[in-house]
Parts: sequence; structure tokens; C-alpha cells
Amino acid sequence: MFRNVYIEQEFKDHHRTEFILNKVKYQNIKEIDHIENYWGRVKKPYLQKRETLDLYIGAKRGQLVKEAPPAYGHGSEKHFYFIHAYNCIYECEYCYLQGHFNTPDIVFFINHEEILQEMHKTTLEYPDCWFHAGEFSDSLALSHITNELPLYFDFFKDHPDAKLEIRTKSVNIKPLLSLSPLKNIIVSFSLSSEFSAKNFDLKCPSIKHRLNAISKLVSEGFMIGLHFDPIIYEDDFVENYEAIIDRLKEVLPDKQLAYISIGVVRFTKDVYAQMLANYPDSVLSNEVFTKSFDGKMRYNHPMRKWILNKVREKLLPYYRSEKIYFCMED
Amino acid sequence: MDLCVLAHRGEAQIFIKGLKSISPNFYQGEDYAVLICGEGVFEASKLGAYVQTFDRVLNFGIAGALEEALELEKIYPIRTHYLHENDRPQFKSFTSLIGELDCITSFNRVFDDEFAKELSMYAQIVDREAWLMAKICSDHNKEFQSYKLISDYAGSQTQCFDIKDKALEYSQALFDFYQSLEAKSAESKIELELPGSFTQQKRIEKLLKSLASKQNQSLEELAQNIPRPKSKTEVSQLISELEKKVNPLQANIQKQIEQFQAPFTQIGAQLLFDPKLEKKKFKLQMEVNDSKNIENLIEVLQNFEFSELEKFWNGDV
Repeated sequence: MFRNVYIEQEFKDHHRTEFILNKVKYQNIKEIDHIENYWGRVKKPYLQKRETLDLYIGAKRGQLVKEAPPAYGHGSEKHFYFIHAYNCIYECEYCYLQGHFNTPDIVFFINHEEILQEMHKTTLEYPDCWFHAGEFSDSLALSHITNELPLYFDFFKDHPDAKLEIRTKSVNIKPLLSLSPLKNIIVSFSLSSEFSAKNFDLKCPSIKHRLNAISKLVSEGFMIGLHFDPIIYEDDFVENYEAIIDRLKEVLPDKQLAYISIGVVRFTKDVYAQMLANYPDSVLSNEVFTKSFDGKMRYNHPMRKWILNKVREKLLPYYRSEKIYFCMED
Repeated sequence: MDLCVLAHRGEAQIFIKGLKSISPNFYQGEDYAVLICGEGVFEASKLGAYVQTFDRVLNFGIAGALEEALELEKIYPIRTHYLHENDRPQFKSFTSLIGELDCITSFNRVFDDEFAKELSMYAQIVDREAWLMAKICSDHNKEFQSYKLISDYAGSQTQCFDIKDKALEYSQALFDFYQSLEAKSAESKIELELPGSFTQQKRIEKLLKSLASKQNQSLEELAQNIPRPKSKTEVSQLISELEKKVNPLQANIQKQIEQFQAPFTQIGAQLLFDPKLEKKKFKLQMEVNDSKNIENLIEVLQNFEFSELEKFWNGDV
């Protein structure tokens, strides 16, 4: 439940605002001029999301489609991401959102037509490019409330060379199941060992439920992407990842796998400081990280390589090597 | 020792009973001291002169509710402190590890509903001092807690005269609350007796916390069962042992490095790796004062397989 819902005056009577307000519970509604004049204007601690979360509804302004950083995605095509929401209902201890924004309050940007227009312009220059949703939020977790998926499915039906990645940890697949799968829309799930998910992915669906969601989407013909990222070292690491991959191979055949990215946990300096402050008793807070090649805090090089190689080795018997890549590694 | 800070003498009257008056606004007791700072953000700056000598600062006082759901005359611990200044909220906020409600400090008293509505966008409670106290404590790295007794609903209904009449009652309630906090705090303090210097104790505590969370054991239980080394070397060995338990892969990496280094160490040379293990390189250091040194070094280098180092670098550990 949200404490306050702030709505930009321009969108107070918009049909999407009405749809959202019918779906969420809230205490107060307040009208504002522009989201950017309120959201993040004061430093609101990240963990206050547990008790006092506000929602903002309005338009995304500025650059609507942005180029993704190098080593972000699979393949040699250009990668872009678009932003239709800020912040997330889940609380992963390693999440970079805790140090990225000044507030955990959620924003829904509902000017999807403008975002799609910008995506169309991008495809004129790069027809086979990738678009990623979920850079600053989980792209599926609240999609039954935001209801934007049908618009994006229509767009990608008309742009068959372009590709969309919907990145999630959620099992909220109902909105997807009401749509016909497209080969160029990939629903990608973040996975880890059971231990890791249980200890670090707070308030997220369990691995079992994520695998069930994958299984259901596979049976309906959806293409699936996977992110074993961020991987955190744990006792019995090899056995634990072997166990999850054993279960994965039963629900996801290679022909419906688009790609698997593997990445080891990493933090910018700010996010690392926030993580230590927010979760001082976590196993993660006691791990030894060092400043790595790009200034981010990581495990040392041999340890990262060991982790990446072990997970790749376990995946290779079941999935083609060209579909597996290391994410954000040197 | 605690420093209790209250804005008004009326709120502080029970707190200062039996305390020695050091100055008209400062009272010293055996267990705690009291500073009566006066009302408003500028007055709260008086805390700066006292903060350094105390372990923690506690602010008690009356405040206005910005939400009707808040109960009158109830005391709420404050989670985050915001500031409203020059018609806008200030970016910096300060958070304590207590409470579920937030307080916005206002430069002006809140006499109209529009202003109260604006403040309610950021917090549920409004006061006149707490933000600056929180900032001063943050700047001096001192623990700060704030507890607000809701006297009225901020806005056109603000009742300054009634509040003065109830000052004694409010002071008693705030003091009783402080006493109950003290009792709880005494119950929850557990001292871990760990070996080593302060830095070593902190490292051991961190490792024990990690082990405790991994092994689902209590920190106290683990702390009781560790050996009590006497020398610095033994403490270092204990830390190393704990590190191995916390991260066996890291321990393997360290072991392999030592294996690479061993032949060089035997001939008096040093093979030095990048301490962060981020760069694939090493430095070789040796003092040469005899041709035998050179012969030994040549022999060790001839037997050194760089491909083994590359394998290690690429995760074969």
C-alpha cells in the first residue's frame, strides 16, 4: 500500500492514471506539477520503502531511450534501454538502486506513446537493435497495474528485427499470458542458487516459483533469457549451482533459450557504502571486495574467473556455448 | 553519558529535578545531562558547544502532527529528520535506527492548513529543532535519537496556550519515556570479550558475524567458543583461521599464492603480487651480494611456469 500517490496535473484524468488508481491501495492523492520537482528532492533513506512508500505518476522527460553501456547485452547489435518506471517493490541486498536514487519511492511514467516514438526513431538507424526494459525497476512485477505490455507487443510485432528484453525476478506472468508470444520479445529471469535467493533477494519470489513461471512461459511458446547475475560466492558453491541448473534444464529447452548472462556481484563505491549501511549484518557486508578495473568493488580477479567458469561449465552440457556470455567483465 | 536536549524549560522541568545547574540552560547529573536550547533551528545550534563530551544525544519534545491518524499525547520515536527552509525542503536528511515516522523541522510555526499540507508531503510530524540537532550529531559522529510527544494537529488548529498549561504533564510523560528507554537499553547491552587490539577485535567481530549468519548461530555463542590468543601473532592466526572458514575459496587463492612464492622465498627473494589481485603481474625483489644469489635465481626462474600463473589468474584455483 502506498502512503501518498502524487499525480502530475497533466495526467490526472488520463485513462492510465485511472487504471492504476483502481489497482493500487493508497492513503492520499496529491496533485503536483512535475515529478522532478518532488521525487528525490529530499534524501529519503532506501529502507523506508519497508514502511512508507509513495507513488508518483507522470511523464518521462528528457532522453527517453538511452544506449546501454559496453558488455551489457548479448550479440554484436546495438543495445538500448528505455525507462518506464523508477524503483522496485523488491529489496535485494545487492541492488544498485539503493545507492543510485535519493529515494525508494516508485515512479510510473505513463507517456508510453512518446517512449515508443523514440524507440521507432532508434530502429530507423539500427533496425536490429535491442531494447531493454527494467534498468531501474522490475519490468514485470507491477505490469498488471501499469498495463503497458500490450502496447510494446504491438510495437515489436511491427518491428520484427528489433528485440525487446523484459527483465524480471517476478512471477507475475498473467499479463504476458494474455498476449501472443513473439520471437523478438525475450522474458529474462534473474536466477541464482536457492541459498543466494533466500538470503539476498528479500521479498522476491523464490527460485522454485521463478522456475515454475519459466516453465509456464516456455509451454506457451515464449523465448526466455536468463541472468545468473549477480553471483555471490557461498559455501558448497558448485553443488548449489549444479542443483539449480539441474532443475533449470528440466523446464527450459535450448531451443527456447535466447541467452544466458553470467555476472559476479559488483558495486559502485556509493552503492557499496549504502549496502554496508543498510545490511550491516548480511553475509555480503562481510565479504572481501577490492576496487577492480573499472573502479567498482568486486571479488579479486582469480575468484571472479573461478565463479564465472564454474557456472558456465555447469551450463554447457545443456545449452549452446554461443548463447552464454559473461556480463560486465573485463 | 547521555545528553538530553529539550527546547523549553517547561518540557524539561522533570528532567532537571535534582541535577546540578552548571549554567542557566545546562544541568549535569550523574547519569545524564540536560541542555535547554530554546525554540527554533538557530537555538538548536547551542548543542554544538556540548555534543563532543557525550556518548549520545537524545532530543525530547512536543511536536505537531501532520496526519490525523497520529494519536494526541502519544510519544513517537523519529526515524528520519527533514528540514523545510525558504519555502522548500532541504535535500539533506538524517536517519536514526529507531522509529517508523518522520519529522520535518520548520523554521516557522505552522499556523495555516496550506503550509501543514505542504509539510505533510515529507513527514508525519513537524517540530522546530530536531533536524539541526541530528546534523550536529552526524557531523560529530555521535548517536542521535529523537522522541516527539504529539501535542496538537499542526495548522489552523495549533494551540500554543493549551500546550503551556500542559507543560508539566508533558514533561513527566517524556521523562518516564526516557526512563523506560534506559531500562531497555541496559537489558540489550551484551559485551563481546574478544582478543587483540581494537582493530583486530573489530575484524574478529565482523568475521564472527559473517560466520554466525552462515551457520545460523548466535554471535555470542561463537564468540565464547573461540580461543583466547595472547600474542599479536596468535591473534593474526586466529583472524586467518576465521577468514578461511568464512571464505574457503579465498583461502585457496591465498594458499596458491604462497606456493608460487615459496621457491623464491627459499633463496631470499620476494615474489610480490598485486595486493588487490586485479593486475596480472608480479614484482620480483632480491638483494644480490654474491654470484650464488644469481645462480639460485636463474634456477628458480627456469623452473617457474608462467602458464601456471596464467591458469591461476583465469580462475584455476
